[in-house]
Amino acid sequence: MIEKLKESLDKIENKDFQIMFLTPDLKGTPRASVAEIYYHVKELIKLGYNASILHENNEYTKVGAWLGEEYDNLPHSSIQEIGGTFKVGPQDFLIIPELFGNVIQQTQKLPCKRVIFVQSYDYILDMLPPGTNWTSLGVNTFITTSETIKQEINKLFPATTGHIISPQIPSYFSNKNSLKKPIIAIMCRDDRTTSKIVKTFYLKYPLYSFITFRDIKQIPREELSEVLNDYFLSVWVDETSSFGTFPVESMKCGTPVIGKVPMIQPEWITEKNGIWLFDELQIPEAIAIFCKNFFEDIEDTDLLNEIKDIENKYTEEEQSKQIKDVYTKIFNERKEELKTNINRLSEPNNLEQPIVL
Amino acid sequence: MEKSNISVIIPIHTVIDLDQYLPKALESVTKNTVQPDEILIVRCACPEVTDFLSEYDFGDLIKKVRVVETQKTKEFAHMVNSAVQEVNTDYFSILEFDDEYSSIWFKNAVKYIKAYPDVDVFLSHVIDVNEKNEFIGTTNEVTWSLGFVQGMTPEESFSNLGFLDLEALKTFPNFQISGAVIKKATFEDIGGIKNNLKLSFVYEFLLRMTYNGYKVMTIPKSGYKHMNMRPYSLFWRYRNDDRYKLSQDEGKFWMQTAMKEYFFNFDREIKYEGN
Repeated sequence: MIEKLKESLDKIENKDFQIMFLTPDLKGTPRASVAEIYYHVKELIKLGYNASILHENNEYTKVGAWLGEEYDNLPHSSIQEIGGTFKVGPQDFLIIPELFGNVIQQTQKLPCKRVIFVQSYDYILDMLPPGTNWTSLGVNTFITTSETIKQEINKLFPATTGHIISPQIPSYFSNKNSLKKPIIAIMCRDDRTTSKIVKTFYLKYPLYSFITFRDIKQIPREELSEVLNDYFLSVWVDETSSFGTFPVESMKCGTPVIGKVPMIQPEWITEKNGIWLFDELQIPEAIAIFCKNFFEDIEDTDLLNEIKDIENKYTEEEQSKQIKDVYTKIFNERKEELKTNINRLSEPNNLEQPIVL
Repeated sequence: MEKSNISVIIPIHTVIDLDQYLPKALESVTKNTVQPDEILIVRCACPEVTDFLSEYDFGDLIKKVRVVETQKTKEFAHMVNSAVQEVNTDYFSILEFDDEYSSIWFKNAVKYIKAYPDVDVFLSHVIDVNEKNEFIGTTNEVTWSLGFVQGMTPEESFSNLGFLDLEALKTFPNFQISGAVIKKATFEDIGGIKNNLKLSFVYEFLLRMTYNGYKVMTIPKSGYKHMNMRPYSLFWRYRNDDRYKLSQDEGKFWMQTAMKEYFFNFDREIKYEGN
């Protein structure tokens, strides 16, 4: 046992271990949370680690069509395919997105280090069996995207250690100073919300019935940056969002956002960098006022100036640095855990104590 | 001040209410932060109009104003076509003397000319008012409606929003070229506005433009205030003046004629022979 742990320790020292990111199959639907997983894998590979995407079934729709072809070329493996040959050791890492709460219990007996990747606070309790918590299921480390979520998680699972890696917005989401078109990009978690906003707007403001709304959920990311540069307004309603990739992408393209403040207020929201509402029913009116000002060329200079502040935040470079720092820390923590266990096993008096892997 | 490369053409065929409206129309030009390079007032040869303009105080605008006289008729199309020949800029815009530009219009027109050099006609988002200056609606904005774009994939439809399309124009004829900024060379190539068409001359002009592949787009800015049915205006006369009044059948005839005439780049003789 001691030899095996020492071997694992050496493997971590020599970067000879696997970091597998369990990833949901979106069947081709673009989603920022999955994009983030791919960004982590890509960056870790760049740093010389053996990182890969792990998906459930053989039939998995890759993300190249909406995220970029290069992401199809990252290593992928399927649990269905590797089945019984799925072997991990104490040196390996399994990164589990928060929405796979059930997997935390299923993987309890695996000897690898498991880390929960929380991008949406709203999902973390969904699949967690009642009466259990992450610690009781053997998980003591998580990665999340902001200090606020980290604090909220620590309130639920006080014995866990959290690390923050902010999402990245690719550099193609930048303001090209295009002449804006009177088209509204809209993104609501619930399609019924989209429908309600659009219909209410047309009914209450028939003068603006020529304004076109476009649901951007299906648009590939690079194309989305062009769309957001062209369109004059973004509308965003996502109560359970923990970050809000879409509004940040819009602002980086110089497009103002009318949005409902989510339950957990994202750290980047300021009083003046958007039209932030607490009541969804006020959104159609806010859109109408925005339209009037647009057609009359009345610019909200405070808003446009505040939007610019986000230009240099959430960059690829910033995230690359965080990925390097955070994962290095997690790997070092793992090394310390293994060393502790080796020491315990080396002392005959401690043989009776459980080994926590 | 920035040169706009745009001339304004103001056709004047009557003195009725001219003293009331012309100052406002001219003031709307001067209120723009970016201004047209010249103003061509094209007038009929009627003595009362001649007298009015010779006595009119243009103030500082006098440096920009040129008066062009047309001999033949008082028809709007003929007056505009004559004035365009005299234009010294690459673009021109028609200002009816009872209408007004918004103060943001030329600034935006210049921006859009720069961004879309291949566009031949920039329509304005027109605000329509009645003779009491009360808001009654808007015109030209429909090009931005997804429902207006026909026979395209969703992606094509989104990228074509704002542009006037021949197929859509055939089913929706209500557009306004007053206030629009028009490329002079294209206007001349295509034969200008047809004098022989009553009622539907604007419609036929736009059909001909789009049929010949010229690009017409609406600038999404409120650029022009248009007074509808001012007493004694051309369209008012079509409806109310016994000498010019069009019956419902004749109205239909001129709209149908527009649909037949846009294939021709020259003005053919047309007669209405109905009741």
